[in-house]
Amino acid sequence: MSVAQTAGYVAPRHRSRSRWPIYAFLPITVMDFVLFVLPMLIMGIASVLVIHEFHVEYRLTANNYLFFLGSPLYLSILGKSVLIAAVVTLACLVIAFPFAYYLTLLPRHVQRIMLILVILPFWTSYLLRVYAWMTILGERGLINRALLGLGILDEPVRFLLYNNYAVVLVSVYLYIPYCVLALYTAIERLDTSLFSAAMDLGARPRQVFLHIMLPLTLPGVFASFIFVFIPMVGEYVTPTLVGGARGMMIVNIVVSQFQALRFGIGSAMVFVITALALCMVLALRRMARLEKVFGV
Amino acid sequence: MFSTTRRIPLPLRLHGAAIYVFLYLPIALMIFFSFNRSPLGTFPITGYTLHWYQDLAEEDFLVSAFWNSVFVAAVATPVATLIGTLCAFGLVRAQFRLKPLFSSLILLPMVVPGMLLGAALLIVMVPILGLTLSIWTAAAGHVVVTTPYAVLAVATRLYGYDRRLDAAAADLGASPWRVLRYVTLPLVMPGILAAALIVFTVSLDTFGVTFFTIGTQGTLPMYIWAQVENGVTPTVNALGTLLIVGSVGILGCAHLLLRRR
Repeated sequence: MSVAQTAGYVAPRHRSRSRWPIYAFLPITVMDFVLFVLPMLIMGIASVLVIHEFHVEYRLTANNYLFFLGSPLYLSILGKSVLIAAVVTLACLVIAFPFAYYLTLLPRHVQRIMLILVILPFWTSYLLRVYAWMTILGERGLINRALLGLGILDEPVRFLLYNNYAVVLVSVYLYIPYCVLALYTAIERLDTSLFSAAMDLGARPRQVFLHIMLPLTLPGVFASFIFVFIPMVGEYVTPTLVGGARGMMIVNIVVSQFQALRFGIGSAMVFVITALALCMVLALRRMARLEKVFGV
Repeated sequence: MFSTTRRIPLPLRLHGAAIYVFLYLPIALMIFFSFNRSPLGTFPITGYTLHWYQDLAEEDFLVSAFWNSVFVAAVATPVATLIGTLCAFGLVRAQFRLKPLFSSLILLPMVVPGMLLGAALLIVMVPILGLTLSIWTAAAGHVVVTTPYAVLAVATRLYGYDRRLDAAAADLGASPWRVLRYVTLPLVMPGILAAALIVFTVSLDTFGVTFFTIGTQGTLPMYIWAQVENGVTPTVNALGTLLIVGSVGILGCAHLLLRRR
């Protein structure tokens, strides 16, 4: 056997190995179909049926959609939810970009540790990470305590909690690890000699950022959109705990419909939001190079 | 800003430091307050106590919620890990035209808000199928949500797998089954164990799907939810501290298993 053949050694193909994939995908396909795709489709169908509490009447109706889309209040909350999700995503990107770049400048072994430290909070209880902010923003929380202690305030302020700003702040806290990870992966792959080359040719830092760094890291930006924006549109815990009545988002309305056993209207709402989210994933999928997440 | 030398500009360093403070301050405060004697769960600081931890053990609802959580995770973990492992093998080893589309579709349950998936499952399970919600229906929901994590963990390990080892075994006369049993699986096993640990941790923490599919029995997140809707309490601080220590411990093990030599 020649050296070249040895170097480019290709594993012999077994019959069984070429069959591997089909069997391998069967369980996940069946599971996702039965417990994910089918429920979504059935819910889509249920949304055009008449449902009285637990009793389904197999009669077509558009009332569920008319009720949702005909209500200015619900529509404005849907619009606000999309807006909050967009603001949170942008804030995450703006804050995470310089940070991800900073991480890539550190020595290799330090990078690993710093990255683990970024992801670690993400693995601790989601509910408790939202809750923990109540100990900071609340009436007896850290901020009020500090301002009272410094003599800046005479009595605690209440406006820190229970509004849209608190929702945005806490959501940025919740979702920024995703963003750092996606941007870090994109920036880390960059060839830094491109920056030096551009600088040597007289480019200003701003131009290097806009014309070289940003375009090359766009997949990370799109991936952040998928991992931040979409879960954010369906956020429920944050608006409930720190948003209060003023910081309400669309899933709060969905939950109240389900609690009132208005399953028809509830499904119409969920179907609209899910359809919005799915369209966005499919639109951004190629640009985000999502398959890279699995390293394949 | 775009220097190639190792000197990192000061603003970037400060920004980095601020991010770590931002990420850890809320958690640190919660841990801190769990040892504070004040029954308010926040300021003022009135002294050190382990009282809130003792209180936890006496909460019957909490104890049953804990065991429900463990039960759901114990049902979901083997199923999700098995499905995820098979899928990871397929994704890493097969080549087909629709692979990019397929792998992004597999990710979907990770990004679609859990509340929406939970609501869809509820519609199918209750008015349509007439099922009674229980920890079993919740476990089914948990399998869907946690499987992508299992795929990710196993794929990470498989990606660094040297396939010449399989080839060598096959050249020495091992049947495909023996190659899998005695070469591939033992080497990939750390990845599969890590996947199981990650799935377990994610399942313990799953809120959205559980919210709609559990019925009257509660898991830990459901218990915490009922508590925190009333604001800050010192027992939740103590419970949170224990959960953080627990999940970080489990994931530390997963991390060690996934580390490449």
